[in-house]
Formats: sequence, structure tokens, C-alpha cells
Amino acid sequence: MSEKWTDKLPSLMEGYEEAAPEGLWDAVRAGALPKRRFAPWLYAAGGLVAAAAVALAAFLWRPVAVEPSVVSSVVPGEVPSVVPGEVLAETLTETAAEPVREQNEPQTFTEAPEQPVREQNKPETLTNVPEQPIREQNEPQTFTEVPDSFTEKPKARTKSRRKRVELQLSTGAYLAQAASLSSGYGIPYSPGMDTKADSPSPTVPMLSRNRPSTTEGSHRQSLRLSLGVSYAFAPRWSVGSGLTYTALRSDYATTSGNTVTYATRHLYYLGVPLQMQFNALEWKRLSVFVSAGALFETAVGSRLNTRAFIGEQQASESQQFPSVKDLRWSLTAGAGVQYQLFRYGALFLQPGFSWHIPNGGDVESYYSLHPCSFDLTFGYRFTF
Amino acid sequence: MEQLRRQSPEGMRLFYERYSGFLTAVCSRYVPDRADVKDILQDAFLQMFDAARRFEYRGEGSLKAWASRIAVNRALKWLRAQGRLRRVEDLPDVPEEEVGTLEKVPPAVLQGFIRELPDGYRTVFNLFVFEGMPHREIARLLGIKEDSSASQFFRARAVLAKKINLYIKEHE
Repeated sequence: MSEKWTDKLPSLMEGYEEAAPEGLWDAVRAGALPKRRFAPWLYAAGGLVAAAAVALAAFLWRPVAVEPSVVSSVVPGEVPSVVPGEVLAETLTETAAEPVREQNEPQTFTEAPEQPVREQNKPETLTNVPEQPIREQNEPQTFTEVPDSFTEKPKARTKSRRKRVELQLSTGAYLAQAASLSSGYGIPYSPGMDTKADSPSPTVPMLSRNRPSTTEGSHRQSLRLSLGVSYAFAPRWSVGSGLTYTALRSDYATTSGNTVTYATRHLYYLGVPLQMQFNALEWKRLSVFVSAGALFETAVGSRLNTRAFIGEQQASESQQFPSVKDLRWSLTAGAGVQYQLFRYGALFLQPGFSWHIPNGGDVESYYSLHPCSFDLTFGYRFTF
Repeated sequence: MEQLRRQSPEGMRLFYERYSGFLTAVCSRYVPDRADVKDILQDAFLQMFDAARRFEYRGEGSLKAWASRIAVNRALKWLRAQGRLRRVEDLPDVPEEEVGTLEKVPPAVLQGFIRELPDGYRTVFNLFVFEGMPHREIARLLGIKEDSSASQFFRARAVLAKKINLYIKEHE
């Protein structure tokens, strides 16, 4: 019965196998590993968490300011019951002899608040406090007196916070290059880019279709320009943001038989940084600072130039502007020095470190191949 | 299977080594060209690696059937995208023959005979015989009439029966 023989076919063919097409495993492996995508919201959440962590750290480690409630509890004619007058007198005496306190040192009601120098404002004491030579900026006040200049900033603080807003122009570069090497059939790609043909040059796949090829790539950052503004929200601390423009360059050389294709691709990114800075040291015109933050970037364009050679002869040349989608978060940290050139201008140099958080995308670039990188930034700051 | 679920490179490699030959044979029954088979299998393997974490393992047979189903779906999708399922090539009206001892014909030869069928006939034949689909389901899947599916199957079967008998006769 003819019905029967087709029934037998599945069991007859069950164990039948054929050799897999050549290069299949390489293609599968190459496609499988970068396919691990993270959800975009995960990147956004990661970036926000990083920014929040930086902000929280800045908040927790900020200098402790004078608590108005503590001082305001000391009013004329009222003596704090917990501190006897004699003890207070001793304390005040000691206070008078002490050097200028750090502006961020916690103050209690037993201490006299720092005052600007007031020549005709001799201290009035409850008890006989030995006469002390007048020390600049450290003239003791009686505990009963509410300093009329209390609301004024101490001198040291005034100096630190005088320049509250800074405008910054800078440029920088990563200190290393990244390299890639891939093998396959035909010219592999322009990874992650919406090119008309699935290759750097539309002519090349036809020349090298189904022929083994090797692609070597080198990747680097060709340019980064930044314009930023920062605001000193506390002595030594400032927070800043702005706009960055980055160009990444990738050079590919693909060899397939006697066909060689050279492709140069530029990826352009616009970014918004969020950074926290701490002035760790100030000495004359020099200051040393550390900073940390996050940078969000999105690819805004690309350019792809290719030249194909068959033997010694150039077979084609083309330029394309493929669209590319790449959103990226980076965490940054650095330490730098700044030299105050003029009253309102300073030069700075900042070595730094960036971690470009993998986004699971298939855009091959310096960011994806060299996620951890050191960079050097220099620029000019206008301070107001 | 656990390694495959975790998408470890070693698990993927082992899975590929175990099933690539079988899946190549399955895919080649639907798509004759080897370069096309490679493209289809590449997509199929990536889909399998991605879907492995959702697969409920019930033994070796279930895994093989699952992988085969994905490969077949990929092949059908490719044929549909190429517009090859709409291409109608008439087979000669061959009177149906009884088939001799089918076991005398090596699987590779049978595979070759199936591959020689026109796209539409081959697809209907494969779906009916190897995937066990009824004509109503095949018609729905391929966007053809149920009668057309049955008719293509009978013609394909008749052509294959003739070729098989000829082969048996030549090798006796």
C-alpha cells in the first residue's frame, strides 16, 4: 500500500544526519554571544542609581554647617542650665587662646562663634577672663551675646564659596586603543549599523561571498569636546553638568582572498554628564580636586568610508552615512590639578577613569571593546 | 540542558555538536540550497539558545522534537519570505505505484528524492509526512486551499514512489 510507505518514512529517516554547512558554528557562536541584551530600562535605572549614589555620598560627606537652632538657643540674659558659669568662663578662656578653628568643625554653645575682626568690640565676659592678645578672626564672644554678625559667613568660608558658578570648556582623549579580530565568510559587517548592504562596502560581499575572510579592527576616540557648568553648593563641593560631543573612530581591514577592503567609521555621540567635584587641597593658586559622576550618551550619527582593492587595483570607493542607535551610560572618576591663571579663569588637567557600562547592543566601537579606559582631560574654567 | 538554559558557551557548543547534523538534514528537506540552509540554521540555533530557558525538558526526544520544530518553522518562514510557497510548478500527472521494499533505499537517497520536488509540493509532503500535520492545518499554514494541499501531496507521493521503485529496480 502506498499509504504505508509514507508512514514508514519518518522512522526510516529519523537517524539520518547531514554534515552541517561549513562555518555554521562560527556564525552561530558570533551571533549568540552578543545577543545577550539587557532591557533598556535596566541601563536607565543603573545610571540613575549611580547618579543618586554620587549625590548621596556628597550629601553625607558634606561639611557640617553651624546649626542655627543650637546658637539661637543662647539668648541674652539666659544661661544654659547645664553649664555652670565658672566652667563657661574656663571654656571661654581656652577658646580665646585656641587657634582659628576649622570652619566645618562642629560648634557647641560653649564655643564662641567665629567673628570677623571687630577692632572696637572688646570681649565682654561674665567672669574675669585674663586679658588675651587680640587674635585675628578669633575674638571670643560672651555666651550671652548673640553675635550681630552671626548671619555673616566666616571669613574662610566666604573665600571658599566666593566663586559659586563655573563655566568650563575642555577636551580630552582616552589613553589607549582597542583592537578586534574576526573571521567568517564574506565581509562580516558594519555591526549594529543600518547600512544599505550588510557590509562596509556594498560591492565587497559579491566579490567575496562564501569565501573566508578576516577582519582586523582598531578603535579609538578621535575627539571629545565638553561644555559644562558647575555650581558650588557647599564649601569645596560643587555639582556640574553640561554637554559633551564625542567622536569614536574604527578602522577595519578585511582580507578575503586577493580582495582587501579598508573601512573607516566615525561614530558621533552627544552626552550629558552629571558630576560631583570635591576640592581636596588648595595652596596659593593651585588646587587639587577629585570628581566622580555619570555620563549619558546617545549616538547621533556616523560616517563610513570604504575602499576595496582587488590585488593592487582599487575596485571601489564609497562613503555612507548609516543610521546608528546606541544609548550608553558611563561611570566616571578622576583627580586633577587646577591653576588659577587670572581672577576669573583657571586651567586644569585631569586624568580620569571611565567605565562604559555594556548595553548589550551590537554596535562595535571603542566603548564596547574597551569598557574600562583611562583618559586625560584639560580645559579652561571661567569662575564667577 | 542546564548549561544551555544558562546560555553558557560550553552548553551551546555541546548542543550544536549533538544536533547540528540532524537539524541540517531536517532543514535540507525543506530548503535544498546549502547556503540558504546555513542562514536558516544560524537563525534557528540563535532562537533555540534564546528560548532554551523556557523549554521544559521531558527527555531526549522532547528536546530533539523541539529543536526540529524551530528549524522547520524557520525554514517555512524563509520560504514564505522568498515567495517560494506561492510558486506553483505542475508536476506530471503520474499514476500511483506500489512501492517495493523501502528499506532497500538509503536515507540519503530518499532525502535527495524529496529535495528534488518543487518547493510547494516538497513543503506539503514534508509537513504531512514528517510533521504529521493534517491537510487542513497545512492549508492554513501555507495559505492555500485544503484541496490544493491534498492534491499536491498525492502528486508528490506518486512522483516519489516512481523514483523509489526505479532506484530499487536499478540496484537489485
